[in-house]
Amino acid sequence: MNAKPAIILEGVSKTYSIAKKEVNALMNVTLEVSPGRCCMLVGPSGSGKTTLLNLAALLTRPSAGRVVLFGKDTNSLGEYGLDRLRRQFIGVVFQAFNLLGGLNVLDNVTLPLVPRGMGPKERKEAGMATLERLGLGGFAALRAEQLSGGEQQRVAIARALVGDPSLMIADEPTSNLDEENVLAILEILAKLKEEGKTLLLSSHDARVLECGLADTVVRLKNGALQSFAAKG
Amino acid sequence: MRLAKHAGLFGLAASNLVRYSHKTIALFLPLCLAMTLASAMTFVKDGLKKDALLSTTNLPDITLQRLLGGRLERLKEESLSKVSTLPGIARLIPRVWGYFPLEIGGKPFVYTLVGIHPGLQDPKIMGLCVAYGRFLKPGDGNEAVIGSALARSLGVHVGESIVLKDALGNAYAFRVVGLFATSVQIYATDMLVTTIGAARDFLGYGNGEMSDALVYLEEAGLQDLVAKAILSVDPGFRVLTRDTLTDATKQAYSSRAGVFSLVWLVLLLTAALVAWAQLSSISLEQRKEVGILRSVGWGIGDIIELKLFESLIVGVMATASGLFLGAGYLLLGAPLIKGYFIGWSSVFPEFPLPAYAAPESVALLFFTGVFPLVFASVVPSWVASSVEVDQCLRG
Ligand SMILES: Nc1ncnc2c1ncn2[C@@H]1O[C@H](COP(=O)(O)OP(=O)(O)O)[C@@H](O)[C@H]1O
Ligand SMILES: [Mg+2]
Repeated sequence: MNAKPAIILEGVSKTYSIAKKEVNALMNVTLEVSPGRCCMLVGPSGSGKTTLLNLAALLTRPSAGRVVLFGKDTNSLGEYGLDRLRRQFIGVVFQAFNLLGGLNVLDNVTLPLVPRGMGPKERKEAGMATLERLGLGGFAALRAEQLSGGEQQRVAIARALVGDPSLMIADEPTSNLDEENVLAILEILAKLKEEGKTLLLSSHDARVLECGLADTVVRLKNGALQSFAAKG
Repeated sequence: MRLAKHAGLFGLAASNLVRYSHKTIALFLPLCLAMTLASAMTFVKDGLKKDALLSTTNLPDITLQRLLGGRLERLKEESLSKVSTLPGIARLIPRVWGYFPLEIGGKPFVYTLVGIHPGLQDPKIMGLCVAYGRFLKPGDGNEAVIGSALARSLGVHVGESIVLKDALGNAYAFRVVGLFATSVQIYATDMLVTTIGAARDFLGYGNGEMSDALVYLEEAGLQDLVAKAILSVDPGFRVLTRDTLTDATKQAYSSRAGVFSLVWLVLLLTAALVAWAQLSSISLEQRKEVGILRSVGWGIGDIIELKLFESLIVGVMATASGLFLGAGYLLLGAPLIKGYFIGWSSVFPEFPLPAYAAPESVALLFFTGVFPLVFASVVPSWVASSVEVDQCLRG
């Protein structure tokens, strides 16, 4: 490990309190992902995978511990700083896709380019290129909600990719997809890794585990890190 | 590119308005309606004020009347002899005026009859404008110039006569030689202007008697000085300077404007409340949208700018449409509420509603139309932006 880690989670805990009951979603987890590597989170439902990804994507803050992204300690940053870091480095794919209904596919995909000050023509070109790459060229003008689950998943990936982020975070990118779509998405992820992007994924799909994409596999259980397996 | 970013945000704001067309319409319609009413009222208010102030500019420097027990009494020519020699006075013109009732279409209306010295007073100095025919000239007797609206109501044309009942109940014929343009000023609509001799006959005034005297000074700045001098000659006069009449008119209109403003405020408050209710009812959806945008790399400033554009587009469009509709409504003669605008509809059977769009009023209308919406739109987004993205996404 000569390069500086892309992600460092240091003794990170996350406690949610709902109706005065505290839920320890994540407890004292320490983890590092080097640039260009793929880290896969596995574990049963409710084990804290999504919580960990949300922390790494700066969508929420840890209750304890710290998250360091590309050398930046995020504890010291305000919401503005987090937004900026997210824009600079991160592409996120949610399990629920979180596309904007009513906007067409191209507008959804180019959404991250708007605050970067790209002109409409460049935005359209970049968006179309990304859509073509994911085999979605024909869907550009359709509304997001008119697509199937697998197609929406790919649109969500396109949106995460369009800004060319160094770190791609995807929560269960293959859940609820059929065989063909799972293979298509695994292929895309493998390509991204070849391009040198850092990947942080979660999955409880055996096929994803077995495809050899992950350099490290982190197993969570009840919010705690249960095992850590590195390839090779 | 900075500009490209703002243009992108603006374009997205526009497409968002189309995307949430129900919400857009729910914001647009009440605001547009409120602005239509507010602008119609404002334009009429401005018009009335302008009209009233314009009519005061045509006042003589000083109007002299005689008060007896608080009532207006006829002025006698003899009582003016001492006044007319006071320094500073250029001209002193007697005037006779009164009211006469007239039934039009079975309804009673009241008109004003004014008698003047043709030659001494031209229509311009009285603030009147003759649209058809001619004004009175020396040598005229029972000739009269009347308001076009009155002529229309009576169905008379230039060259024809009208017969009215004089002070003693006898028939008295006036020959109409001209019509006043009523679109210029309201107060000309109910007027019949004739020679002072005819007016005296009609109203039952003796020779040398008058209702009031119009005093024109060598210098307008002498108003107060001459007014004091007149009172010292004869404290029984009621001396009205143009300045005090103008002030009184201004005051009357600002108190009337107060009522307008109140109605206005209620309207706008309603619009603001509707806007607020609309915006907070979708706040869950909006919060989620804020979460999604931030998760894909948007900053808080970008989101606020987007919301700003959205509300500006709706606000400016609704206000502009409201202004046009309000103006159009007035052009159509303000059906239904014309009588409400001016409480004199029982006095005038027909009158044009004066309307004027003062630039400062238009600016104020825009500000009040757009600001509440911008506020109601930007603040919730700003609040949502200060919340963790994960929480926003959960709605
Ligand atoms: N925002 C939240 N509020 C309250 N509890 C939460 C929240 N997010 C997650 N949790 C709880 O934290 C635990 C871990 O959830 P999560 O990270 O979603 O697990 P996974 O993704 O592995 O299924 C669960 O018990 C879940 O109910
Ligand atoms: Mg999950």
